[in-house]
Amino acid sequence: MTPDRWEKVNELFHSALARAPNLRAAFLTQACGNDVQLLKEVESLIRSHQQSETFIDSPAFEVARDPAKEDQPHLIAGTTIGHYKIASLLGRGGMGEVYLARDSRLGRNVALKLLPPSLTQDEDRVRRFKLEARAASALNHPNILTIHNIEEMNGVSIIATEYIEGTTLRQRLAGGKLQLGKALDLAIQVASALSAAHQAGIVHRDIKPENIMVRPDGYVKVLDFGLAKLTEQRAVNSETESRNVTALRTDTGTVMGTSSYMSPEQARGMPVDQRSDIFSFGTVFYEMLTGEQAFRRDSDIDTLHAVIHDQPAGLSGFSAKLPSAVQLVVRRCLEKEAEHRYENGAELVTSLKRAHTALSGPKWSTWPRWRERWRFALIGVVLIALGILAISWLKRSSERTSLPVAKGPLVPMRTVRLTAARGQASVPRFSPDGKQVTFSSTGDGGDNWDVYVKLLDGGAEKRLTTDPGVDGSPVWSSDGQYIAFSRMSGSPPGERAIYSVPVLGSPERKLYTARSAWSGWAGVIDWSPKGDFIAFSDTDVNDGPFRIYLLTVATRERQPLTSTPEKGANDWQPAFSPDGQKLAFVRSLFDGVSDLYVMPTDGGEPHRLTFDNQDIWGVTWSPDGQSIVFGSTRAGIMNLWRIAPGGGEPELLLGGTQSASYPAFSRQGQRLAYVAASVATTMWRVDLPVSLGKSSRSSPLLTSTAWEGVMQISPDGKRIAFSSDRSGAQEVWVCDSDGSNPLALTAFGHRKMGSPAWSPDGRFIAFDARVEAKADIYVIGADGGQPRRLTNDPGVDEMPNWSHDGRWVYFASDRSGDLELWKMHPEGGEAVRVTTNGGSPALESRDGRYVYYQKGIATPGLWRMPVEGGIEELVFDRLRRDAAGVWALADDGIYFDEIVKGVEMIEFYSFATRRVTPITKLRSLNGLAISPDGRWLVYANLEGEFSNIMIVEDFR
Amino acid sequence: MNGSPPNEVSKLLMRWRNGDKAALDKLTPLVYEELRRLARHYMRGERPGHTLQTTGLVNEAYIRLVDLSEMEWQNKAHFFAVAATLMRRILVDHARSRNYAKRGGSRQRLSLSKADQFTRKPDVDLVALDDALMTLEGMNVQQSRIVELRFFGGLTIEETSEVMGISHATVERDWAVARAWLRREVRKQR
Repeated sequence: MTPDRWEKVNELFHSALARAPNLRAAFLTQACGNDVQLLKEVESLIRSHQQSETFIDSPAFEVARDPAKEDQPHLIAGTTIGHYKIASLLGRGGMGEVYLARDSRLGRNVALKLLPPSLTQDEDRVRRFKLEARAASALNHPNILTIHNIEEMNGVSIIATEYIEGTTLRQRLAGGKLQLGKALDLAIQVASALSAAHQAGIVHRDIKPENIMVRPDGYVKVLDFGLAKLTEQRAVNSETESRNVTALRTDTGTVMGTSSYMSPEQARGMPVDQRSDIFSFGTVFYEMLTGEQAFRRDSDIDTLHAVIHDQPAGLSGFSAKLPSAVQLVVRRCLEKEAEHRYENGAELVTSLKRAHTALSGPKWSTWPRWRERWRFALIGVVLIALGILAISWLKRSSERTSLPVAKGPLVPMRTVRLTAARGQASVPRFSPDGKQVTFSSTGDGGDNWDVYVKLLDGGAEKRLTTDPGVDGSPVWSSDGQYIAFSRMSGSPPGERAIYSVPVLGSPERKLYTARSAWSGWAGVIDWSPKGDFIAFSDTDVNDGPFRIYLLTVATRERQPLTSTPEKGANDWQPAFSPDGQKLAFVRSLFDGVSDLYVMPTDGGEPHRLTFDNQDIWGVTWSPDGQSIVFGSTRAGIMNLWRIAPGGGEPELLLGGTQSASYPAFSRQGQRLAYVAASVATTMWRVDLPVSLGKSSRSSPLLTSTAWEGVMQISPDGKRIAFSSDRSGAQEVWVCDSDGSNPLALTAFGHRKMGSPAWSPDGRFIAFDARVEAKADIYVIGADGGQPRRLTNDPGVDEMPNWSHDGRWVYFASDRSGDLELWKMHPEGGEAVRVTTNGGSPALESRDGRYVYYQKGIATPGLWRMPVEGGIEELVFDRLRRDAAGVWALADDGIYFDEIVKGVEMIEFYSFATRRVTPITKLRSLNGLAISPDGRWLVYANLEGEFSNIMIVEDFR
Repeated sequence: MNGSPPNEVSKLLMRWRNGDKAALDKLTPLVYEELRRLARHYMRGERPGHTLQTTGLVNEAYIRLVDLSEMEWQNKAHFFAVAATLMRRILVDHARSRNYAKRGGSRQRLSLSKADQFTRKPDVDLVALDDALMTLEGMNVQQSRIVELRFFGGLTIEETSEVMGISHATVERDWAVARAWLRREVRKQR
């Protein structure tokens, strides 16, 4: 066809289409006259035009995919794969096809997902996928789809999961937006699934309506946890890896996730953490509420751009009736900067529930237990506090972006984040007039804790101190003009002292120099309401027990208030009652074994309030003096609890599945400040030997947002036992040596425990647990079962290790009065004392000739003595005295950690050459173990510690 | 990133937009390499997690090659204009080689128990489309270019009109007629 002819065809084509369909034939017949060919051509084009969409309507690269490699096998009903019989196709998506099948072995229906072979070629990915999928499933959360099995059959990877009858949220949303109560109900269930997963260190990475199933009874199941792992790749860079929190990246050439539901960091191909799920959740919640996709644009690139840069259309535009609390949740979820979002699913659940409670109508359809748990936090939540903080928050969020922000009405807030620095912030205190908060913070990073003050009605944080020492626990003078704080590791080097500084800035004045430099809890101080005393913790002589003293501010004289009755006990964290008549404090037998006491400030016997033997972080009185609020692990996770000063059963005040500590009340307003903290741990493997001058090759085995460490590798090198609080409470866990299949071995529930040690035959694991006040040694089968208590002494028995022949279990015990090394047959019997001059955790050399041990906090260094007894000798004097359990014994030396010029390092000390070789840098060591064959190390690095100060408005 | 830092592409795009024709010559191989790599991923089915209608390959190349924060948004269209032509070449070449293999070569199949029970999606004949597009080019260059941008480049109507400097309405009209014609021609060749 010539261009001219084609031009003519075009003209007629458009003219005909511009006319009503019933007039077109007549028009064309007339216009074409005798040219039948022309008529045919145009009519044919119009017919083609009116066809339903064909391939040309989607971009070429999508239709060009190679079916030979990409296509899924389509299974026909009746096909058998292994013990599964296919019944019907349930659905298909990018991650494979899902069938309804019958598990003939167990006689139940399952949903069977077949993964495309392209996804399963990379064994490492498959391993990581399995790890996460199983871990998520193992949480046994009602809103997380249970995985029965992941297996390979005839070269195809299949996942068998519980079969859910219901519809996907995508199908639900096809009918438009959801009714508010329903949306909240579903959202809470999704968020609580995320909460449980995040708690266990699992990030979903692909939250979208397709992955959310709604059962006819209203139950929600979140699908495909871990599946996103299959499309990810780890960035491993030995220089920087130990500093990366989670170095997970999307595969090259893949921007992963469905773009409308991606987080900005996913859209940018940056590493993601649980806060990415929060964003994706926000987009889904937005869609539930509005029926619209928040960032959906014409093309994918525009969508990604919108995810990164645009604010979603204001919710109030869609429905004026949406409560501002609900709008706020969405906004907070959709913050572009991850640090401004909810920290994790748990925080999100809290806010959603508050919003839900604020609705007069529907009640939660599931989880009545929540109602109970949250009663106190939720009582009388009426969303009125048009807080100044809310304004400042909105202001900040609108200033951050140059793009238009949908400005709804100023939103009242319940909980706001006072600090959003990259670093940590802790121990908040309200000024006497309630207008300012002082706290200790590392600012925007680094490790230098300084004292800050921030006005509640906005404005920047004001930094009051800059000393390289650790400035903590700031407290206000009664007139609000001064702040006293403790400086640890100050100058002269190592000094601990109490200073005061005017709120308006400099100069600092030293009020008191402590006798004991040892920091920790000793840093927490309090200023009496009238301003005459500062309560603090110190020793009589260096390294003696800590007790509470009162410093008379006018004379700088100190007088002891408590006398510690029990050896080894220390008193810290003093807190004056509002009338100054009483003082609450914490008595700790050991770290993590503490209880709350109260006593008159003019002396007398302390009265014990709790009998928990738990961690206590932060003690404060309610403004009316009717209750004491404290952070405690008494239910596993660090939460805020309330108890009457006369004693009684503590009541949960705040926290639930999120960490809350260091409470503080404003004296007049009903504001509660607390610290929300979390950690991230990675277990790394280092292959040995590490040659001099080269950086070590480390690879991550396991990453979680839990505290974990103190591990040991099994004698066959195939498994790792470790302590972890990923399930909330600390337990002993076991995983494969590549980090896969982590399983909780114990279920003590809420007690501090750990220090797992393998028997030489690999059949048993010894560990310590503090079921009663003081630790005892237990033994459990390496595959689980009922733990057996080995020691029964009223004293401390901790940090067990087996002799090379398995005949003895060594442990540290204070049964003789001092901490010494003891041993006992694993079947029980009499304990035999090994050391006489101090001894704590021990390891026997593999040849069974020597036992190596430390001497507790008072004496540094690594010592050894012949197994049969004899003279002890100092092997190596550089071992930190608080290094219990974080050194590893090899045949030719020890691996240990040390801070060299401010950088924490794992190093090797050779027995033969007496030289120290660096192995790897890290942030903070949580545990260190060597494989029995001496070929590799595993260490746990606390990759990050995050804490922010939260303020609950209108707290009642 | 295949050795081409994002800002290099950004700079070249900028120069090209400002009239530097030499910049295009430098740009083309960079984009081509990236697209080819992405296309390989696509065509091997390594695209999990994506629904077919939402993602464009060129979009991805753009995201990967160009630092979004540093780029003026208009440059996107110019990038796509380059990419669309390259994309056509890559995809059609690939389709040609595949058709060849189909006729001659053997193919590896999944070894599930009963291979016979598998069915497969019909192929889309990109080769036929390419042939038809060349015919169209002979009749109307502008329409052929619009198809290239829309179909191979994945551009929207707006983007196409921006790149080509013609009105929105013109793109819509030309696209409608070209699409109708191509549908018919490709069907004829089957």
